[in-house]
Amino acid sequence: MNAFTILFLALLLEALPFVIIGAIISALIEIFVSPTWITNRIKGVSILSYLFVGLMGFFIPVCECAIIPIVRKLLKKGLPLGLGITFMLAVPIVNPVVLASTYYAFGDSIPWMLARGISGWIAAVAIGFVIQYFSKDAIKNLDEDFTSCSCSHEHGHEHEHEHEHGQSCACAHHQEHSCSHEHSSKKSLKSILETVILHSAGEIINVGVLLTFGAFISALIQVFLPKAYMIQLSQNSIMSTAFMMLFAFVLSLCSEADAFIASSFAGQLSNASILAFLIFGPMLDIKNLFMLNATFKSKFVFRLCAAIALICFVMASLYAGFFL
Amino acid sequence: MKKINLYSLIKAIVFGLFGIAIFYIGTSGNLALILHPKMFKFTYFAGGIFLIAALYSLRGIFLISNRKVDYRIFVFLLPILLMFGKIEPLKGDALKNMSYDVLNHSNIVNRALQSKQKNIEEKNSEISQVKEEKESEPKQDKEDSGVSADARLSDKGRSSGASSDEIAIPNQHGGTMASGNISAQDDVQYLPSVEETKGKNYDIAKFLDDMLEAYAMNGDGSSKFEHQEFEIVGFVYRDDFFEKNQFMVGRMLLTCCISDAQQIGVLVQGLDSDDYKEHYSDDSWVSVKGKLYWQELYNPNTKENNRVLTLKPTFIEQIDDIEYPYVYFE
Repeated sequence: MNAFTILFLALLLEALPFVIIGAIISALIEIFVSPTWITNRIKGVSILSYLFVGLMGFFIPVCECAIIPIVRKLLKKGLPLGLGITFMLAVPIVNPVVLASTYYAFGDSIPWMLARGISGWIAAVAIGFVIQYFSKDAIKNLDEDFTSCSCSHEHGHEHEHEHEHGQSCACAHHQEHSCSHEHSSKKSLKSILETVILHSAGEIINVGVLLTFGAFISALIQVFLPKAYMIQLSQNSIMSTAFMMLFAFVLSLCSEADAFIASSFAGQLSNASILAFLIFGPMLDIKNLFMLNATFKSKFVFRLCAAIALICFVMASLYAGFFL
Repeated sequence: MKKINLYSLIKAIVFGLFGIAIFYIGTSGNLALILHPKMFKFTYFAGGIFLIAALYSLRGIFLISNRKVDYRIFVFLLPILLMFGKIEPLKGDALKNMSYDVLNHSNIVNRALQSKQKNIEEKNSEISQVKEEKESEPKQDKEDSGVSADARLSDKGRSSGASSDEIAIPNQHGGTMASGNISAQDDVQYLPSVEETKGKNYDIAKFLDDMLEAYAMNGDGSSKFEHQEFEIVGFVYRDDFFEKNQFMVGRMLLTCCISDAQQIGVLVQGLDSDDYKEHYSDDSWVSVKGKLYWQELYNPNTKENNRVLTLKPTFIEQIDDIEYPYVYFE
């Protein structure tokens, strides 16, 4: 019980501040970034824009917990879906903090740092591309999510509606008016602060609750499923890549710390499986999955997960085969 | 009497409790059992935001609204309750189920500490090179250039030890290791923040120093400090295949939070006749003095031989729970 308590609280308290930071950034985007600004920036979506978006982590070095509220807001503001996905997946990997910790964890290893950065970057671009290409109708689904509020799952329905649709603050009814009023009128510091607090509070409930669920389940699995057993399963070289991805999924580590765990397997498991752990973990894990569900339709989340798993698997195997 | 907006009230209470819980767990010291102290500032930030959100929700209490209560918010009550509850440090009992293979435990530490050691050596050799350049003005020193790296290393040890304590190689008498090397200085810079949260830092600095030295290796893989006496304080843990004269003594090492914790420790192996299982139960705290050496051990978990750093004990003592059970990376 103690182990569960500690793990659960650790996952939650570690991620929560960054969810809140993400929520605040997302609130600031809500106030300051207009949809036209985004569409003006992105005239044509080319492979170059994907590659560029994949490097945004150098400007916005946030981890995977903070990125989801931000992406959600950017998509709502008109960022093309594929670009948004690439952004969401690349930033937690291709960012200076994470790369530095990888470098350090593997014993001042530039090859591992590059392996993680480059393969993560390319994988994120590829996934964004695939998503953009394959989910023409998923964009429509996503639009529905934001405009007509068909947020697939029951809980969050009402909340989602008010929050996204009415540009309100996801809080009590009375505040809706003042809030949307402030959006259109002059932006005094006080009103900006108010809006930020109201939006963040809404986001904390929305994402924080799902984060709590995610932390709960991850902690439960970690307490009852012996890690040593999982590692034994992953001794087989082909299976090991898949198992290390599963392992990353269950552990739900922060991308800043996971390199230290990954490096403990160096020499025991194949390079491909370690690289898969390093690039898959930040893109998808239990707590992220719950938060993704707050943002996207479950059908889309399923497709996204499949694309991430497949492409990370292939990417890690290829990169490790050629360069490590 | 005015009607109360129930949802605003609930939000104010839950957010408020969450914020209070975060500051409670921080001040009670339990947060250090969960997170790396470097993360505390983020946690407190979250706590502050919760309190602000609570105050903000209070404003809406007397405003009538037909909005329904979002019951999901009650999910937060679970972490709030747990934060106010009793929290004990994670030790070997949890490791049994959660841990990586105990004999392979220290790969990361091994490597990280080696690189740390490498840095120290580089700095040391830079300094000693400067010294050598200064000293080698007389021609007679030329014949010294043929000596092996190892010999130069030990030579350097002497010379730098004599010159400045900042770069002193650990002194030779065991047990109480001087913490005068560079890594220890880094740790000392870092330690005050730990001190604020919990108090004594002696154990961490000492433990990290000891481990650093224990793991430092020569080019041939032998420990530079082989057969040197060490004292290590930690909890006892075992794998199922351990003999009765074997146990691990170590600590949990946190990089970010407890979910990335790894145990770092050494194998204590006494004489065949010793029975430690009786005297030193899992999770009890011990202080072990002894000599270090490397040995090849068959590891049933990985089905291969592992090089295991082993302590041949000369003195084992059971101690009370220590105040600061984990060690923190960086």
